[in-house]
Amino acid sequence: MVDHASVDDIVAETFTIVWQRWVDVPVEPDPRRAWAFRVAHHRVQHWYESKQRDVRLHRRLAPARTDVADHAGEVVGENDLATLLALLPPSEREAMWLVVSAGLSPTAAAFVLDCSPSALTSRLARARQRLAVILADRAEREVTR
Amino acid sequence: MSDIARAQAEADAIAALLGTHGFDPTDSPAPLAPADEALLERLVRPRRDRRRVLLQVTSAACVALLALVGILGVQSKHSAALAGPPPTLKFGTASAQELFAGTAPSASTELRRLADVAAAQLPANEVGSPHVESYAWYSTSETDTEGSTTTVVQPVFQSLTVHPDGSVTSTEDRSSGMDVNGEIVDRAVDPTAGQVVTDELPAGTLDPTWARSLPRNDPAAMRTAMIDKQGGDDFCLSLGDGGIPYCMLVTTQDMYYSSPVPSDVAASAWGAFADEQGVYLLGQTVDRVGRLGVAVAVLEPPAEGVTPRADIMIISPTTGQLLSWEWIDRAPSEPGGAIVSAFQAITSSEFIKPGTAGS
Repeated sequence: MVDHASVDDIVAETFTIVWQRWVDVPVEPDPRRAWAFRVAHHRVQHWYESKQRDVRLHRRLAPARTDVADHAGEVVGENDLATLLALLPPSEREAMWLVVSAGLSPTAAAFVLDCSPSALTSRLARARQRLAVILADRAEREVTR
Repeated sequence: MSDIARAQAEADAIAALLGTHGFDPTDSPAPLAPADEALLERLVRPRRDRRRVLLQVTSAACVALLALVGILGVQSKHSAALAGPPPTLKFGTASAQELFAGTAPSASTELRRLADVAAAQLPANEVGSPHVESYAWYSTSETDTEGSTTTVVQPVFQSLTVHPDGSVTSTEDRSSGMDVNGEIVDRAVDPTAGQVVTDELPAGTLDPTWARSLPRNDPAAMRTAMIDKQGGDDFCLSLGDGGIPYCMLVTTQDMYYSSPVPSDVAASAWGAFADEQGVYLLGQTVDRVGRLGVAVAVLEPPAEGVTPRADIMIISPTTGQLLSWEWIDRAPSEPGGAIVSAFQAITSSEFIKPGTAGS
């Protein structure tokens, strides 16, 4: 997931692009939100690309280097929705967040993610099934405590 | 039920599921304060009006230019569409399936022939700063528990120069970005697509003389140097089956990634590989930029829970130099029996006068 330090940069870059391209931004609020989310979606993709570029470079320059796993998630409250969403694969997490949390229509979310409504439905269905398993497991663990 | 209705039904079911377990999934932004609303108005309204007027004034004059750009845009989009996730290469001797099944033949004889080809080359210029240009596709795939795979492909033109003090200039031009569906990102939406990213790494990062200092026409000494570079015999053996040839392969990639490799050094490398078990011949192929080559492969040491991966080297039969390398992951359900997860083709490799490129 995008680290906290980079979130501000991504948000700033997103709104800079929105401002620069304001003449192209849809006037209606819902399509406008979808447009802004799509820019943000691409900024996040570029962030991942940049990370992978760093990893490739480090692999070349320091083959013996071992990365230490980020344990930030372990210290976040268990009831935090973000922690729960972090357990989903990125494509499902994004689809779920756009439609369920941000309240975009499925059509707008499919536009943001550059995918078909059918692909969006599949991602949401898989997210639901995965969440059901995760939540049932959590409930079971709480009962046995 | 339409796809849109099904998607909405899934979303409603997720919201209900989360609600049952005490989560509020809604993440609506707080309403803006009046002062912020006013600031926002000031930021966007005048700009929109001014740009719209400018657009109206200039639109007539731009008709001819737009027509030209439109034609070029169509051509550009058409060529970019060819850059879909790469299929596996075709090999003359053994397939990817045979490689992963362990039935591909040994590459020893062919590697000795390639070592002879390299050793017979005339000496080339070895003075200056190493400068390597390449074309690569890197992809990241993630497969969920239901077998659905999401892949991000990144085509990259890379230029790398190692300066005399060991500092490095690495430039990557991500000239045709792709989205998670393997489609070209719409530049109208993402104007930063195609940006050039340059890394300047400090003095001492790489040794510009390293490839030139490796053993020449001496496979045994080369084997030791290649393994030592990755941490020595003990470390390479600790990686598991195939750890030794894998370490040698990584060193070979490091050599060619950062420097032209003298032909008699290449002869040492192929001779060292020829003496190893676990180096397989895939045979004649054509690499990603259309050059005839001979493909040999090493299986990466197996790791629990990790899809088996093979590293392929494509070597020129006329110069004995490495042309390209690829990583393929075993995928029995795919037509070629594998998925290409990355490749890099060296398009230019030379020693240049210090300060003439990349600095």
